[in-house]
Amino acid sequence: MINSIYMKSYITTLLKKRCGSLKIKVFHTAFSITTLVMIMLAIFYLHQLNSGPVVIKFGDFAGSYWDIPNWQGYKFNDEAIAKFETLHPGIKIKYLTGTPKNDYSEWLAKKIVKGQEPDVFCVLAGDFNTFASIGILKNLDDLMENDSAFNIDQIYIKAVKSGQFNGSQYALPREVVPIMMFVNKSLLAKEKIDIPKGDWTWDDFYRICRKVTKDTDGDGEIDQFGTVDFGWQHAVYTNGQQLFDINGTRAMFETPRVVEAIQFLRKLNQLNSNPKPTADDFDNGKVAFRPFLFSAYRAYKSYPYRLIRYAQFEWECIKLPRGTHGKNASELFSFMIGISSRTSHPREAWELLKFLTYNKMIQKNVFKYSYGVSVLRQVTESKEADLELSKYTPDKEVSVDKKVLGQVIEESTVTPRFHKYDQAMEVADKEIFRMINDDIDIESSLQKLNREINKFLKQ
Amino acid sequence: MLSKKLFVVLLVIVLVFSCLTVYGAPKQKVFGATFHNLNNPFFVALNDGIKKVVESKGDKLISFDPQQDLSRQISGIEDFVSQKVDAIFVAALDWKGIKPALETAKKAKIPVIIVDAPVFDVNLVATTVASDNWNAGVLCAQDMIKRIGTKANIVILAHPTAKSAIDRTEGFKAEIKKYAGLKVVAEQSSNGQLDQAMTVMEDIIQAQPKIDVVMALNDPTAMGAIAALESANRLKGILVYGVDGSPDAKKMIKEGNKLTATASQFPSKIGSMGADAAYQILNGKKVAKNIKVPVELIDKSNISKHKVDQFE
Repeated sequence: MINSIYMKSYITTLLKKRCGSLKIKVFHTAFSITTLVMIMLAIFYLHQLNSGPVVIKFGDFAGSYWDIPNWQGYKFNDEAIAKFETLHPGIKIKYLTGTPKNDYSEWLAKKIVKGQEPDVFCVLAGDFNTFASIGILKNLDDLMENDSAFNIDQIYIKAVKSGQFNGSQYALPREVVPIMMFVNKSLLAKEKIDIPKGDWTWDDFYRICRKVTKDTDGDGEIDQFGTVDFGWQHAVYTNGQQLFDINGTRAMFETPRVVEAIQFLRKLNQLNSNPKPTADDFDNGKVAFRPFLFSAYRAYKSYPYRLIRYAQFEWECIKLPRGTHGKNASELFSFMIGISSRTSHPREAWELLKFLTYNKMIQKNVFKYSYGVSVLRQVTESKEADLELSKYTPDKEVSVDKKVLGQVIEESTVTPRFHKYDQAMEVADKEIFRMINDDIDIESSLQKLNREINKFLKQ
Repeated sequence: MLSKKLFVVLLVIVLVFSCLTVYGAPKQKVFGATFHNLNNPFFVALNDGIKKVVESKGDKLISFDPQQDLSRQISGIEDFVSQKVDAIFVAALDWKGIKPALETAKKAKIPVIIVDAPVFDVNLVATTVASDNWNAGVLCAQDMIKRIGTKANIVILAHPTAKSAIDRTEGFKAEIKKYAGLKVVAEQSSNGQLDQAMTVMEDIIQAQPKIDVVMALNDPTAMGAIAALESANRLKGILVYGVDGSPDAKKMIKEGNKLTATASQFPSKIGSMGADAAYQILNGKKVAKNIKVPVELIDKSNISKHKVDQFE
């Protein structure tokens, strides 16, 4: 300060000599404003020093999102948080974890009621619709639009859609997993059947299932089956049909494609009506096909978990068979993260959310520490992803074509997100189960179901 | 801004989840539980064993998974203390390092029931319910001698901070010490984790041209070792022992020759006995300081007598 007073008097004397009194006045004004600004900046800086870094609470559950044992799953967040704090010295992350996935919804609900929910938190699929509809999740549209360093096109479109509610973005996906068809190669080889090609159809599927369904030990009971767990939703989605409009105001169960799907499923089920195959039958090598999450494929195809499951036969995963009007893909599952609408630090919370879901370095860790697929197209199709995928497979072979994987993700169905979705699907599930197993008219039953669900949606 | 609807919906969720803790059932007891992790099916069965007893009495169990991190486990226990739970079940990640958390609980007069993995500072806990871990190691060693004789190169996969694992390893070592020809050629920590055991074993395979036996502290570790040996085409002729009696291990014994035997524990029983002890303590009754649960060796000869698809 003393130096600046000396400096001011020195410059004033100099100006008096050279420029006259008007310029001295201008100088005085400019000097005063500059000094004021500098004092204000100093106060702001000191305030920042005293108040310390912004603390962002980040909530997550313990364990694998995909329900597969994963001893190093926690490393994803641990590493991401450490790197984020290094890159953002003004932000400190308070990491709230340890609650098992099964108890996480309850834990989060309690925090929300107390007004203590984390600023950024993982959102389980079953909670997303409720959280978005009641306003606890922050609408991310403005944050995404105003951030020039964020380009949503880098993320798989279907993955982005999984975080949308009523057309707005309320969460971003950290990783995704499509459904694939597991094929028991040993069983098909024994029956002299080639593994189906990627664009196979329901007809191909049915033909193979019919051929392999038989009594192999001659005791009069069927003990080898075509498929297990190929559900009515798989049939509807592989026939290119959604069940609701995007806002959840209208049901579409009576469309010809749904009718066709349910008719196909009844026909398929009739192949093995007694006894019905179970998941254990697949595990024991007695079933040719079973739809599975890709995460299960990743875990059990490679060591060490390949020892634990399906070690008794050779198997591979391919696309699902498609119906007359659909693609070879079913539903897409996403692990999502959102921001609390009540956060006091939306900018910092957004930076963390963006870091977890959009940063290439962090997204590579999806392949390293989890069994999902990165949501960034560039990362999933990279050589590093190949290395991680082939790390513990025999012969270091990458058996999944990642272009195909990307294609399946983009062709998968993201079910519309609305508040009554889960309840409506529960009603539909019960009715459709009856339609598949009982001898009732499918078309008229679906029309009736559609009316009931529409009524429920309008309530 | 949050709507009225939000509060109504959330209130309902919390009321349902918390089983009317405040208004409906004021006497409901709340327990905390923390183990090494919930990746290992053994701890899931242990947790379920406690939960079954607790929920049958209309009470509540809150589980906390520290994911193999001691500092997380300590703060999890401190969090239980701040929630004023009635009692805490602990399988300590580090039998000495857990002391600060035990002191916090003791100061708050919350009884700690140790399950599975004993702790060093026994005066800080109400009771310990655990398998006879020493005998688990002895049983494996005796079976090994019966099969291979008294000359072998042995690899031990240990977990030197968990007392349950220390006892198993020491029990095994005490038995093989009797024979000069039984040599431990490598002893390394794998933290009791399947994936970690695989990478540790891969390194041992590189360094050891002749391995006859692998003694693993638990079944996931044994499977990690088998994965590494199989992947390197070295499994044939090697005896592999685990401890737990997990469904995966029993299935492996039943279906093939990869896993030689497992010293079976009974985690559901440990859990239910721990929960019973907790209720006795809360009712002012005295319980034994140490409750030991016997173990049993399962191999191909007696697998048919056991339930393969579940912990027993």
